[in-house]
Amino acid sequence: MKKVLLVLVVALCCSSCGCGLYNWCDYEKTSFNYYKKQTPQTMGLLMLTYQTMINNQQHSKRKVVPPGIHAEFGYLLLKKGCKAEGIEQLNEEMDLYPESKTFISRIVKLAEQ
Amino acid sequence: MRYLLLLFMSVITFSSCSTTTGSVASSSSPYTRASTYPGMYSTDQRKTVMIMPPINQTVNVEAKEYLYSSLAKPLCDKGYYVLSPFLALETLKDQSAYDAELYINGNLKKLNEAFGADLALFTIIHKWDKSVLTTSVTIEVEYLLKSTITGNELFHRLGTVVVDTQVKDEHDDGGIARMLAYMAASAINTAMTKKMNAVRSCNGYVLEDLPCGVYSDQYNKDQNVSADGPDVTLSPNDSKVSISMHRE
Repeated sequence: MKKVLLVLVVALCCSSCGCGLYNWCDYEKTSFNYYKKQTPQTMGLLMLTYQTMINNQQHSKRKVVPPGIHAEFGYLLLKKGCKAEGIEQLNEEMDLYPESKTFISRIVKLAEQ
Repeated sequence: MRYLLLLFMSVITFSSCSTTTGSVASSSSPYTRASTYPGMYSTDQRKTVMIMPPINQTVNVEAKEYLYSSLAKPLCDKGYYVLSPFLALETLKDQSAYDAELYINGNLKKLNEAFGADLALFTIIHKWDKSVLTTSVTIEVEYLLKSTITGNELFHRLGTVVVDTQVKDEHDDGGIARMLAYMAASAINTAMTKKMNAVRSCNGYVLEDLPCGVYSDQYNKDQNVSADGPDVTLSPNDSKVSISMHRE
């Protein structure tokens, strides 16, 4: 029964924003909270949102991760000291959105130094 | 139990698909997107948007944070590539160039060179008032989209939104405890959620007229979609209508 409830909660979270170009899940709330007050807790919740967004785009219109999400996730991973994973996410952003290269490649270069 | 779960899932599915519909004046407006924002259609360089930190002309410090963190989603949903506001802000801070006032009337080419942005979105917060007596919040924001290549203004609108932040108590049967709980709920509610909704509504209404970006299936096909015109200021009553028409 607990599993069923968990599935329902996840479905509620993801279906509540899955009819547009992208599925944004809880992004507006968790990103605002992090932007306002950068604590390990707000960072953790925002990173969880990124992971949920990355894994739940199958019902969105474009079926791809929204612009900037891989980049932000990668940046926070770098901030946490997870260099390889962070760079991987930044590269994902450039693969998915080549127009981001001018900006994101600079961050990758800095991270690799 | 199985039927109950099925019913619950159905409710989720249908309730989640709130629609973002056309603008209030869409049926009677003499304007189209192409006639109102011709510059948007005369350039192919309108793919990547950089959101500049809002220019806050109010005393409410939080207003800037609320607005800045809410702009990426509606622009992405319009089909644009939006540079992450968080990362852009960090970079601007590193270069001590955090204030959008430095750019709004200046040369924007460096935003194109350094960030790859085709367009820069400037926002000016003119009003962010909370009325204690009526528990309403009034937000007035000016949106200005400029080409970073030519410096031309391509989109310019002003949005005014009034939102009632009061929690509705449908079973009010009096009592001090109930009244205190009701007031506390209103205060918490006002603190964040309703302000976010007000900002979202303002963004939603104003950006509704914006021609679609390259990732939308309406890219370069929406020239004849009706628009509200270049300088529409919504009265409080109108804006309440618009709020109810937009996804919350």
